[in-house]
Order: sequence, then C-alpha cells, then structure tokens
Amino acid sequence: MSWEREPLFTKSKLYFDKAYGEERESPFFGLYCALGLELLARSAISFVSPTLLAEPDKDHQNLLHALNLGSAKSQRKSIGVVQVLSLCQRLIPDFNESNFKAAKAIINRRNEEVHSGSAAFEEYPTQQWIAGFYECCQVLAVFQEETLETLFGKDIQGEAQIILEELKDEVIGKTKTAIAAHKRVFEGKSKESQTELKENAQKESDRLAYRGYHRVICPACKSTATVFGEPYGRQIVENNEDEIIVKQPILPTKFACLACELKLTGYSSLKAADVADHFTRRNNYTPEEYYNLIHPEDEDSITERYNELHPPEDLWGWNND
Amino acid sequence: MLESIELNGWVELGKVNSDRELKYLAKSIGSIERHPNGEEVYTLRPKSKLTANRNSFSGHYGLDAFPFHTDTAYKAKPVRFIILHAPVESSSPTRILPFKKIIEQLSTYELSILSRAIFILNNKQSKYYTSFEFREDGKVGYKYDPICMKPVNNQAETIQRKVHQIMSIIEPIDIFWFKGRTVLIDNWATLHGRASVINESNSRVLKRIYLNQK
Repeated sequence: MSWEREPLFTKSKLYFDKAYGEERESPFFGLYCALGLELLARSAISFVSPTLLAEPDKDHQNLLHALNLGSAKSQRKSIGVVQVLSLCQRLIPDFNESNFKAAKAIINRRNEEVHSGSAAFEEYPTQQWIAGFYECCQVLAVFQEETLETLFGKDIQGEAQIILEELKDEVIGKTKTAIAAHKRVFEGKSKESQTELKENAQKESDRLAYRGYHRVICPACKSTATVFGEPYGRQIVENNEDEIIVKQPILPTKFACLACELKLTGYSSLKAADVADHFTRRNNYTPEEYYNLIHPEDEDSITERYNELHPPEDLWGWNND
Repeated sequence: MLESIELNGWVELGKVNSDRELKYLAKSIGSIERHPNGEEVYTLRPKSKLTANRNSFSGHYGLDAFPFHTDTAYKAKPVRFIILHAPVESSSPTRILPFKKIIEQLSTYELSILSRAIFILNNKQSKYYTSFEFREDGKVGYKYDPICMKPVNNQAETIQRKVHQIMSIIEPIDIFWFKGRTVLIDNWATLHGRASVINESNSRVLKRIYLNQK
C-alpha cells in the first residue's frame, strides 16, 4: 500500500479521468469525482508527510508502513477521510471551512452511495456541488505544487476555471452589494449617531483585540471593525527569560462591524471586501502557565493535581444520602 | 556544472581514483541514497540471465543491450541523480537519451496527454500508480521503465508506443568508459541503457552512487 504523494495524486487523476468519461449528470460522475477528491486530499496530506496518513497504533505498525518499513504480514490502516479533511484544514492555509464543508458533503454522498441502496448522487445534482468541488481541487492541487491542468488536463481545467471565475464573481457581487447596502443605511443616519456608533465600534474593537480579534477598517462605514479566523500552520514558540510567546498564524474568515452591522463570512468574501490579510495571534504566557507548573509550596494545587491523576477511593464509605 | 546538466541531462565529473574520492565528490553534490544492501557505492558487473536476479535488467537481458530506462523508476520518487564511475576501461558504453529529445518529437496532441499517461508500477512490495511526467521538489521530471511500468489508460498506451518509436530513431549519447572516467546523470531528465557486453563479461566494472538533492 502506498501512502506516498505521487502514487496518490496519480490515482486521483485516474479516477477523475474515469469521472469525466461519464455523462455529467450521471451518478457515476459524482461517485468517481468523490473517490478522486479523497485521493487528492490524501496526496496533499502526504505532501507534508506520508506518516500523517497512518492510523496511530501502539506498535507503530501503520507508521512503519508509511515509512515503507512495515512488514508484509502486518495489517496497515490509514486514517479516515474526515480526519484527512480536518488535517487539510489545519495544514493547508487556503483550505478554509467552506472547502471543508464542500468536500465533506461530496464524500458523505460517496459513503451513502457505497454503504446503502440509495442512489445518493441522483439526489445530489452536479450543479449543486461542482463549484465547491473545483474550489477544493484547486486548493489541494496548488498546495502540493501541482495545478488544475496537471490534475484534470487542459480541457477540464478550462471548464473548471470558468466555473471558479463565475463563483468568484458571484462572491464579489454579493459582497459588494452587502457593503453598498450597509454604507447607504449608515450614511442615512444623523452625524451625531454616526459619530457615536463609530466611537462605540472603536472601543469594542480595542477590547476584542485583546481576545485574539484583528482590527480592520470597515469597507462600508470606515469605522474600526474586527476580523476573526481559523488557526493554520505551525505555531511559533519563543522562549524568553520570564515569558513564553506563542505566535499562531490566522486565516481570516469572519468580519463584523459594530457601527454599520456589516457581517461577512468566508475567506473569499473577506478577500472580495479587501479585509482578508492573514494575521498572527500572539499570546504571552508565564512559564508556569505554559508548562502547567505548580509552585512547590502551593500544597493545595499539588493535592488537587494528585487527586486528578489518582482519584481517591471512597475509604470512608460515607455519603450524605 | 548545474548549467551543463540542465542543458544535456548529464555532465562529466573528471577523473576519480578511488571509492573514497568518489564518495567525497558525491557528497559535495547531494545526499547519497544507499543501495538496499547498505552500500553507498554499488558495484555493477555484467551477469548472464542464469546468474542474475530475475527482477533485474540482467535477469531479463543478460549480456544483451539494456533498454533505455529510469533508474529506481519502481520508487514513487526516483533518485534524482546517478554517478557512474569506471575503475577500469570498458568498450561497452552506457547510452544516454535526454527526455528533452523525446518530448521534442511529440505532436501537439501527444503533448496534451503527456501528464495524463498513467502507468501501473509493479515492484516487489506492491503495485501502485505512477505518471510518466511527474512533479517533485518544484521540478518536472519524467520516468519510464519498460519492465516494471505497464500502461493503465489509453493515454499511457499512446505515449508508450510513441516513446518506443522515438527511442528506436534517436541517436543516443554513448559514454565510453576509460579508467577513472566519472559522470553525473540527471535521472529525472534522461533515460539510460547499456550496449551489449561482448568479450568482457568478467572485466566490465562500473561503480554507481545514487544521489538526491540535499
């Protein structure tokens, strides 16, 4: 069994070829696309390391197989697809929550198709999922230094590009409309009210900045607003003499302005509104906090921790009943 | 050196006099990938079909010419470079065929299906899928081995047919071995083979080191 990137990527190409040999409305098109998508996600994870695909086991048998050191006699088991998608979300900066949901929905249909008698893809028309599918494929291919062309070939890549452009235009259109609407409503308010709302938004944003939010200028009313997001990539931990600084890169996915009440969700939407700059969340810890240390003289905490690790038996046999 | 290997797919490394010198030179270029038997420098000697391992080129072709192939094509990621060194003179040359020359001969249609040509690879441990054209470490590479790679789809059959046809027409570069000659071959950009071994089945010796990028 190979968990290396190239064979997984090549096999996904083979399944996509099979899919595109079917009618687009055929349930087999959906089924083969779903199978190809899972392989593509696995190859993207393998690009980081094939060992991530190994199901943890106490004897490291699966890990040894991932390193091509396993015994032919021993079983080999890889992690489930939902865990693969969760890892994609964690390790691939551009694989956002909406990609996760889109991929999971397609793969759930695949499960229904192969585990039940229902015609899962008959009930899930291609137009409902194809755009999200192409978005996932693009992100997963680019992450492993491939392209939609190397994945699908030139013709299908052209089709995918058109659908992705339309999707982008749709997101841009919806975002711009929302911004314009909130701007209009905000400008319709009195100057005093506008000033008060702006001041409150500034105070609230300053407060939220201490809780991991990032301050940005609202594209509708120009007040100070905030974005929030999902952690991605590796944490950077700096050990200083009396404090530990943890820096976590964040991919912005949610925007909210208290002044004009504009709310945007999804990285593409935030990008369309020009408030999607990636940022870093910084947390400062004392060494005691970070390493969960207890002062040697703090007997209460020591007892509490000891009892957590070794729950006391009910020696008294006493209760209040 | 890098420019030359980029251009031709191989480069002359000059004369080397011992395994120690060879390893020292190799380590200045990349990181050595050991032979499965643990050796850094592997010694190649011609073998007859009867004495050779069945899963090897000698097992298939004996002392006849070896067809053009990629070394370690059976691996998901073939080794990047091969160093070959002749400790003694040999009249049986190593033949090099840059993939560039094959690609130049492909039609627009064949070029469009090149990345879709999928083969099944049969190695001792398992069978898995692989592509004729692959991307690794930010570089496009090619691999082909007529023994362990079998076409899976129509695109692969078309490419295989055409590649065999081109290989029979193009004049390869022959590396004739004089004592001490050492060359570096880009294993992702060239195919190589061996001319038949005549009258020197016991004397032809080549030393080989597999190298990956540091």
